[in-house]
Amino acid sequence: MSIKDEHRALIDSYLSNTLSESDKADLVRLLEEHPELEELVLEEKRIVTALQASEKAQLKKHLKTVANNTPQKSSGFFPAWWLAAASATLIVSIGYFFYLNNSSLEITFNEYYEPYPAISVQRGQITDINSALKLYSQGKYKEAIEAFGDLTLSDNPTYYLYLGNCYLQTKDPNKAIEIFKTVNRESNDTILKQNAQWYLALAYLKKEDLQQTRKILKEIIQNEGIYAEHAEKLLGKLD
Amino acid sequence: MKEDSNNIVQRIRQGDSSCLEELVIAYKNYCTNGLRKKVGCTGEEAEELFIDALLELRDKILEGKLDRLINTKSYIFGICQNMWLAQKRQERKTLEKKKDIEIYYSAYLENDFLFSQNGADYKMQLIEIAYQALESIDEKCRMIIKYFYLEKRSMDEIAELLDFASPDVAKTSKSRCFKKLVDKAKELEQS
Repeated sequence: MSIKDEHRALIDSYLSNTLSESDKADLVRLLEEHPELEELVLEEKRIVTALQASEKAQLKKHLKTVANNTPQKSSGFFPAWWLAAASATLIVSIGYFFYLNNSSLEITFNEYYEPYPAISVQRGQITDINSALKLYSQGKYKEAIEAFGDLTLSDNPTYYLYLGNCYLQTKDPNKAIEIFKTVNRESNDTILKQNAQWYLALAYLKKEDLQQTRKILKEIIQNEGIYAEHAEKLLGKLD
Repeated sequence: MKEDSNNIVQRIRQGDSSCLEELVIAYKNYCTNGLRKKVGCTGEEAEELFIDALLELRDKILEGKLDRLINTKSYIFGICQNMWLAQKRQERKTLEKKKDIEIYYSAYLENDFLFSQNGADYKMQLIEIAYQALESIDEKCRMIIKYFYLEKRSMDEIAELLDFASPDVAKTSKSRCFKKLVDKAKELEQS
């Protein structure tokens, strides 16, 4: 048994918490008239709510990272450079599949990988960058590769992190490895380098090169940087 | 980011989570220092409350319960204090420490009119099952479901964001993807 199309719009409004008071009354009436629908509707609500709760828990993890990287003593609003620096220090939170207990490398990768968070685009920035970041935040990674491709490392090494992530998303770990190595080699920013190093480990994992993955993870642990804890967990899982 | 309350509401409505990051950076110290002084919690507890308060703010805006913010900083601090009090009340009831995801899941359903009205059970195992089910559908499907049910985006927007030929095509895909997700969850629940 399933929910009929004629009732779908009303139930979808309920599932997405957009019911008006009169809609609520309609829904109650519908369930009174068709009691067999009630458990189906509740089941769908539980599923959507589980997703909603998980998305919120994931966002919390992300915001805690931002908070951890915010200096304790500060006054008023932050300068623009600080936002960029803070964005660059975001630690990868365990993704949507955190609760899955599957040992395959692909699942392990999915557990630990989350795309480098898209930053808000500041007004007045170069249009190419704006459009590349927009494509990235929309998950249009192939198009974003083309847009980022016109930029060079000297424009802003952060954009290379995005480019590397685009390659990871489009299942091209070799190119991602090349990009993250470039950031590591040529950037002077220690935070960016730490990010690049973490994604480099994940790119090797994606490539299923466990020897290199372990090597990079051990380096991250040894450097005791922002990803040390994640690296330790991932290494433990691979071992 | 400027102290523009309407802009904050607007950006959160559009699913721009970088706005929350900016709020963290802007108000973390004010709120956590204030909480430590006012309610005597630890730094760690204060930070936890502050982040939860921002998520609460986001929920209120997404649910259409908050259209305007007059003084963002004070408003967030107010939520922090309320949450601290609620937490203390809750602690008196139970000593069990739950994971964030479970707390959010229960809280959402406790506030749901059908669940509170009918006394329906929450089925905590659905948190894990929903994710296993989500794994069985493709990335585009996941995005449609997230955009539609969680971010409350219109079919026009979804069609544009995910390159569907038209809103109708997006709608059909949404129905197909959601059915697949629900069927898979049911199958996993019964297995």
